Amino acid sequence: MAGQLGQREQWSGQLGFLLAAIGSAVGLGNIWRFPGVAYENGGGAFLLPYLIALGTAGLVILFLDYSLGHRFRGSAPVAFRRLDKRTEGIGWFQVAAAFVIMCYYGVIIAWAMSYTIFAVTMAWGDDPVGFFLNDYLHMEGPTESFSLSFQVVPGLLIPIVLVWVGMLMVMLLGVQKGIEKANYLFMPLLVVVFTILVVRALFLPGAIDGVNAFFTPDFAALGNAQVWLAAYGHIFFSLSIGFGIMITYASYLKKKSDLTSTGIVAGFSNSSFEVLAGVGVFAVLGFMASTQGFPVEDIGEETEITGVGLTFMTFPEVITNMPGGPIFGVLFFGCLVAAGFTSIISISQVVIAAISEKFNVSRIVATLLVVGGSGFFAIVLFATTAGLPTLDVVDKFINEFGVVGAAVAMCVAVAYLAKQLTHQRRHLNAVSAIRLGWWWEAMIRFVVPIALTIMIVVTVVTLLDEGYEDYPTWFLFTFGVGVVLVAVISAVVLTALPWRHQVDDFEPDDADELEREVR
Amino acid sequence: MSGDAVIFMVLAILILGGGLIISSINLRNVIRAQKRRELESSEAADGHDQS
Repeated sequence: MAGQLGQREQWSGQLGFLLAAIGSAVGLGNIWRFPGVAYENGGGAFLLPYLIALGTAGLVILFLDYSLGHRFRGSAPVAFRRLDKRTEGIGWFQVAAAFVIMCYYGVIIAWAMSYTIFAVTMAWGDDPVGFFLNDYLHMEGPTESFSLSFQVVPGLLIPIVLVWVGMLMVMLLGVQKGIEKANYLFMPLLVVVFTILVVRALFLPGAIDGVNAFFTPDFAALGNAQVWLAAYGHIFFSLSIGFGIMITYASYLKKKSDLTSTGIVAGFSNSSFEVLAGVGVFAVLGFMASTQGFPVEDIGEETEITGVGLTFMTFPEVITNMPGGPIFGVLFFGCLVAAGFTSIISISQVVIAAISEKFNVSRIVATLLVVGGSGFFAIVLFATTAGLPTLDVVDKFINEFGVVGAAVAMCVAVAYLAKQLTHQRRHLNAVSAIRLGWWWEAMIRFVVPIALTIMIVVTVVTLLDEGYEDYPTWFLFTFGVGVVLVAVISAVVLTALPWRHQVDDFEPDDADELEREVR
Repeated sequence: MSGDAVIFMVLAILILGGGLIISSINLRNVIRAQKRRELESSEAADGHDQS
């Protein structure tokens, strides 16, 4: 007979949870995505849609994630099943998406780890682009005649193994001794070192011109719907919401834990770090413009200002020309490793907790299975000569369709299928000092699903019209649509498999009683 | 820096930095109040046991 679910792990307190939540939210995207997105969508004026998106979608979904995890005390599939049995699949889809993301996210951390070492000698020489694509990744581009090769690049293996061993060690130690301790170590270190880097960057020649370009508002952008979609899209990816991380993390909180106050601090911390990163990145880009003699306004045309291009092509070029470049480089790539690592452990916890709870296996067994399995796929798919384009396409599709779609499904499931939205709000209010009004329900019922659905439709239309980055259609179907379909099929199969313990033997706390206990 | 850029930079610092400071102080007060209540209730329980 199936047994009861074992004693749940817990954070040591709210500060441990808060640091882990911030550690999860502050990741590679804060450093390499936000500055470029803000610059391309109105500069200083982007602040307005960004803050509105933070208030009306970011924090709103964050609170919903917190309430599901805390009220139903389980990983994403457990929480959704206890919400309504028909919605368990949404949880499994989130788990599948998290598994895919952890596979390639860890590879990027491994690149950053390699570059931390390369920065010491500035190993990229005079040609950072050629070094990254040819010497480091041994890349071959996806063309129409491109055939699938799973040829692993040996130089990538060591950093990937190191990232996965680090992840394994942290995850084996559990929530309090592993995840919480790692965040206590990495987060203060990241903030201090990154602040030092930003201050240093501000003293470079031309830095102020770069910061000026970053903050100069383009008010006309506010009338452009794409800018508002960019703000909603960015805040959604930035806060680690909608794919089970915050559901899982909140499930380890003690019963009497304030959810909304913690969420607001996490949201503001994440956004503050992003703006700090924007100042630092554009100070560096301003220095680049001044040394290479092009107007800072042309920065978007002259060089890559987001993502892999910014980090592994533009930054090495700037570091080469910078006084004290190697030290700056080591600290910059070290910060990327720290920011990425605290995020990937949160993503892996989504999968480990779900597998452990579904199959009633110990954390150690689940960790070995998940970390080992993801490491295998990371090497086979992303450590190959076609690793970069594969990663790019998988990232685009699993995030913009998978994660966004799962968030829409989550809102619809809670509000319309299970009709539990008011219960979720009462639960949040029962334990929290900052109480949520009817507006929160209105956001979940209407604004968030509509905004996210529009995002998906716009992405589909753009893909059909323009394709994506000149990749051949078969490549987009194989690694884009294919991966999302695999995630859907995995979710269906995992939902169909029987639970190895009595997951349904659970009654959520009554909000009124809970409030009496807390107050 | 241009005047507009300075205004938006100051706004960003005030809104996000200010928001972070105020929300952190609020959370600190909430956690302190929780701990005080827990202490009081455990003291009350101890007193009840002794009587």
